[in-house]
Parts: sequence; C-alpha cells; structure tokens
Amino acid sequence: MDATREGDYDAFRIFVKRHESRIASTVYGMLGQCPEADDVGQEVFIRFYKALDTFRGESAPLTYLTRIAINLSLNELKRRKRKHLLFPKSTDDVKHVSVESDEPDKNEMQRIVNKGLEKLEAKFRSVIVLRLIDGYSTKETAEILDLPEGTVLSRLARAQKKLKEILEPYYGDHHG
Amino acid sequence: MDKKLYNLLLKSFDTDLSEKERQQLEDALKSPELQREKERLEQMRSALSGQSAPSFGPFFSERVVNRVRDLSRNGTLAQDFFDSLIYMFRRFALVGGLAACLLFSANLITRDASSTPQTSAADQSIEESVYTNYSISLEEVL
Repeated sequence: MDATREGDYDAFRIFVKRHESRIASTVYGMLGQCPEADDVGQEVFIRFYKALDTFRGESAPLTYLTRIAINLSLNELKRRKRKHLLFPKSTDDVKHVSVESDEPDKNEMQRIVNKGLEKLEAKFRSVIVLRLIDGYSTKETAEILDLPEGTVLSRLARAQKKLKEILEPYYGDHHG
Repeated sequence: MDKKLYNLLLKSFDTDLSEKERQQLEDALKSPELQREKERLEQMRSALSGQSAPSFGPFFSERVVNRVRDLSRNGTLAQDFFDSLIYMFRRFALVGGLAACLLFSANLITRDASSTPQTSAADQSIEESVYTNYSISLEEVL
C-alpha cells in the first residue's frame, strides 16, 4: 500500500493480482457473466487507487475494495434497468431449462441457482453475493454494506425464500 | 409449514441462536417436512458457495496499471471536477427542466385565456356600459 502510494506501479500490480479473484467473484455475482463486468472490475481498482491518499485504514483494503465493487455493480444494474425500460428484450427464463432429469448435477444446479440470482432485486442479491458466494460473515457483510446486522439477516432470509420459489420446479417430488 | 419455524431455520444458517431457539429448532427438525426444507436450503447454499474462483479477462492487472499510468500522466483533476459537477447537477437539472416545462405550459394556458372575447367587456368604461344598456329614445317614451 505504501509503495503504491509512492507511485510504485509494480506494487500496485501485485495488489491487483492478489485481490482480483475476490473482486471478480463479487462483480460477477452481482452482474452475471457479461462484458461489462471487466470494465466494472477495472473501475473498482482505479477508484481505489484514486482514493489511496484519503484511505486511512479504518477497514481492511479488501473490505474497502468490496464496498466499491458493490456500489459500482449497483450502478451498473441501475443503468441496465434504465436501458431495459427503453429497449425491452426477452430474457432467458429459468423455466426454460429442462426439469426432466431426476437429479440435476452440481454444475447444472449452480447454473440454475445463478440464473435465479439474476432475478433477485439488487438489495437482496448483494447480501447473497457477499454472504454465500464471497463467504463473508454476517457481520462483515453488514460492515461492507453499511447496514445493521438485523437488516442483513432479514434480507438474507427474504432472498433465500425468493430463490427457493424460483427453484421450486427443480425440486419436484424428490426427497432427501 | 410453520412460518416461524421456517424463519428460525433460515436464521440458524447465518447467526447464532439462543439456547431456547436452538432447542426449538432441534425439536422441529424431527418433522420430515422441515428436514426436507433444510436439505434444500443446504443444497442451494452449497451451489452458491461452491463456485470456482473467477477471474477477469486476460492481463487484467496489467490493463489496470496501464490505466493508472495514463491517469497519472494526463492528470485527473479536470475529469474529476466535471464528474462531480455532472453528478451534483444531474438531479437538479432534471427537476429544473420539469419546472421550466410546467411554467411554460402554464404561461401558454393563461395567455390563451386572456385573449378570449369575454374579457373585452372589461375594457368598457362604466358610463359606456350603463348608458348602452339603459339608453331609451324620446320616440319610445312618447
């Protein structure tokens, strides 16, 4: 961090490489697989670099980076929503996926769950991404989103209920 | 299924339960229905958390550093200033634009109303209006 502040670009490159995967997990979780994710990812680190002089270390760098990633992803989702209102197009529907197989394999389950995640509102998606995909604790999630823990728990519960509804056709009558 | 118990099950995944809650849930999980819900939730959560670590496009860190180098070379002060201006005034501009449209529309409506014939009566003097309405000729009287 100090080397980066002093203009050592190699140090910053190492910093970016170290945190790229975690930030990619957050951004792709929020936006899905799309070309804009790479731009958003770059912007996360650019913003962090610009804010280096004012970053006092109250939170860990990764926490700060993740907060930027969530905010930029939310902005991109709003931009996408506005664009969709002006230029509506049909989106892939989870229901179109075949449900004939008795037991969807793990990759198929992940694909279905990710499709369901895209249908969640941004505020629910962010808690799911941070808590379940990125693996932050409830407390860390609350810190990143600047929300009370109770609100995070409430949103997690509602998000999981919504996801379960979306995934209901895939459980069918299977037991255990 | 009992909503309260289902909420308790959800809560158990993300925070510590009190002793009373833990016991309540343990007893409730003897029900096959709630047990099945627990397994579905575990399956769903596992699918979300078990994803392989993604990465951005190739040479991501190099591309970021190149952009940072360009920023340092060209300076960002002007760009940041304009970005801030746009951010601050975007909402004000929208509200101002709407207000201007409303005022313009109101002005058009009132201008149309003022050019109607009914208002021309107001231009007459009091004497004109009285003597016009009540004038009687001598022949009529006789």
